Amino acid sequence: MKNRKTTERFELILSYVLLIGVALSAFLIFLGIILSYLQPLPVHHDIPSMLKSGTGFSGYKILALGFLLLLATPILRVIFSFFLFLLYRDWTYTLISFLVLLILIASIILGGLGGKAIGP
Amino acid sequence: MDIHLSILTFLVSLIAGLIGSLLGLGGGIIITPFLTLVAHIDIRHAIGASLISVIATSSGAAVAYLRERITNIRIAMFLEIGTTLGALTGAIIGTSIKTNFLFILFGLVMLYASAQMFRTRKQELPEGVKSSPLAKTLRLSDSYYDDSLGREVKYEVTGVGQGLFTLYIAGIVSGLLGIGAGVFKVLAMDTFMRLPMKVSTTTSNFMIGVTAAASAGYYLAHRMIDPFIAAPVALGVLFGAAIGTRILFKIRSTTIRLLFTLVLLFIAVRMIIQGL
Repeated sequence: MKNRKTTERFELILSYVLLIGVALSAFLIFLGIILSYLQPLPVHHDIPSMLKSGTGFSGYKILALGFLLLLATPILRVIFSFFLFLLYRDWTYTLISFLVLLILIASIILGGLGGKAIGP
Repeated sequence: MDIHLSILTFLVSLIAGLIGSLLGLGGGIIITPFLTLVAHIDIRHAIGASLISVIATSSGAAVAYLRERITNIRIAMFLEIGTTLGALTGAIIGTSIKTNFLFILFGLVMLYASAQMFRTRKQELPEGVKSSPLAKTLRLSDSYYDDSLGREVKYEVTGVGQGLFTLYIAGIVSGLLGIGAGVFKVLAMDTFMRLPMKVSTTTSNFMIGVTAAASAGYYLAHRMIDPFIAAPVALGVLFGAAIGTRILFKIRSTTIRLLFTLVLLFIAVRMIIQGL
């Protein structure tokens, strides 16, 4: 990350990571919502139970999967940043992104265990 | 949700995504009141949908902002230590704090900030900023090509410690109140770190996705995201963000400042009313 060219490449790679995450989740959400209206609706309207219920592929499973990918996209961005900084031997920012990743994971797990609501 | 309401939600979310991507905000300020007051959806699912809106605005707009090199990823990465730590602290503190007082207090802070922002409305770019030692160590100063000015804009960075501390506090507060995550980020970068407005809003936009993702575990565990409500929100916001990013390149920073002042005033008044 010393010179401009590597920074530019870095930004381009992150941009592609986000683009793939967003485009794929938008596609899954769109497909899922169309297919969901063609079949009986699930009893529970939330991501974990829609993923678990029933067997095989269904519209609402694709829909839930799309949202899971959308939620994961920012986390993937941090993971990619960490590995890219590592690859470019930028130790300061390798450490910084590792710290962010650690706090992020801790807060997701803590939240999942039923902590206090953290609004957007 | 019936089909008409879904289409209306899509359109409102499109506007939220457009404004959010321009100003570095998540769009919850538009999505939550619309879903509760107009669509009559319960507050839990409305907040769940606005989390989706934040992540979609952030990731969607960042695709373009990164490619055009306006976002400062080093500043974002460094400040994310503060915001994620704030979210984590909020998760540990829990509900023990009375939020009414906080709503009024931070509503007043925002009211003051909007007056400050109005005073500097004519300022296209910050002037006379000298990089602080910490900013130099972290190599935070950078440049971007401003399409509306037709030239490369070089900028220096200061107030890094203050910025980090403010974002830590903002991370806790916006977590407890469920409002203002993006607003505080833009304000901290503008006031303390003295970044150009477009760098502040795009870098805030880049960070809010990660801050929101920090609470994804809670939202999933408490089943707050109804995919049938969140789907038109996500798709609308993504469309809006795609339009918003194109506008940001073309308009002046002074226009963005003025827009931001108006939204700030709106949020401040809403927060104070909610606290009373």
